[in-house]
Amino acid sequence: MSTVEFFYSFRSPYSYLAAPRIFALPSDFRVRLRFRGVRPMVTRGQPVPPAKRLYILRDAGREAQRLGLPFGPVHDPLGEAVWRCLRLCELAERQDRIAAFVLAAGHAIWAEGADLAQERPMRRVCEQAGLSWPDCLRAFDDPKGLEAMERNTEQLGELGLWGVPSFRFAEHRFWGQDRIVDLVRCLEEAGLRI
Amino acid sequence: MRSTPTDSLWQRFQKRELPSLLLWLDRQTLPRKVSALLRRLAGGRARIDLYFAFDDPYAAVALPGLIEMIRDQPVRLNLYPLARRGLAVDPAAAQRLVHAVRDAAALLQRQGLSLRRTSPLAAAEVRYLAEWTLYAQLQGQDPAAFAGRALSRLWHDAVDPVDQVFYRRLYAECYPGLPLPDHCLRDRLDAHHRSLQQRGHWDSPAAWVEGRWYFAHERLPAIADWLRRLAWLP
Repeated sequence: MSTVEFFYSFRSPYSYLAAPRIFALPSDFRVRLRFRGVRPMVTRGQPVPPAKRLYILRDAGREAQRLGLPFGPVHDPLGEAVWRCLRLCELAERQDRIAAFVLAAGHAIWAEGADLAQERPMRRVCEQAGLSWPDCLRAFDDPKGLEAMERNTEQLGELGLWGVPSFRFAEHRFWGQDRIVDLVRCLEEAGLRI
Repeated sequence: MRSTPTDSLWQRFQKRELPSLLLWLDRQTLPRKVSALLRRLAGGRARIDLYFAFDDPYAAVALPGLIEMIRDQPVRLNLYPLARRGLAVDPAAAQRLVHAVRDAAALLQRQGLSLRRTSPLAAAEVRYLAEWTLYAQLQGQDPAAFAGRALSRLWHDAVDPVDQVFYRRLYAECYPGLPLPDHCLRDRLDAHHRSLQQRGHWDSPAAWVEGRWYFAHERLPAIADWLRRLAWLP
């Protein structure tokens, strides 16, 4: 089965906007989705000056309105919240709960202003995603999550991409939540619509 | 899970309250609507300031799109050609240049158009086009007439190296007289770059549309929607 790779950062509001449409692809197309959580841009040496941060925030807010997605209040997860989310991705993938977890975490960060570095909101997100809290507590101490993130980040660079959300399907690469239409067109041209 | 120490009030303000407040403010459109109404009643027009670079394939999507959008509408398009753009230190700069060509082609494909040039252009190679656009503007001409056609030729039609003779002919088709060498033009282009940064943006093609910044190549429908909400477009 063909694979669509989804490069995602918990700190990227555009990743949050892309996630529902990307996780819905396997319902419409004969594709397998491979989630790849990556480091936030600012921790990869990419400059994000205040003007750019402000633009992204406002533009993402307007795009969210266009897409009918809730946006704001927000809580910038840079720091421990991001690392904890990334640590849980391995567990969520193993338990086939990755979509539920990523969607719940994204909603908490970008639509509820929840600080996922704190136990109570993080526990709520995990349980909402169907993950057992004791399993999550063990996963926070497991280095596998962050190791996977480093591999994913490297792969993103090897594809000639640096920003998220990014998508790869066969030899095609796309960057940006507003390029999902092009990805969908490619999938249709490949005859993969169910 | 060991909860991290609760953020200080300042950290919480920076991470939560400030961005949430900025978002809320961006959604308050009433002042803009009132301002637009008053200007319309006074016979005024809306204004789009487009900062763009000829070496940027996205500009070849943005400028023709904006020209088409505001044709015969009470909206003025001010052009700010750039000879420099982007962030001063950007480790992904080379990747961005390559990606932009591929991505601009995909954006044009949505409109049934194509981008024939397949590799990036050096900024220095097309700097004179920015200077000529500015020259036309200073001569009281409509700079979009030349800039739009030059961008189309540069990215949509041509695959060959940039041919100054061709663009000189194109300039002569658009305006009476040819551009004269003018050392002030370089300073003015640099001033455009500074103005872009001072106004809160950093790259091409950036459009300031009635109080909002947009990356014009990928937000043409959003720009049209904003102008419609302010009743500048039907």
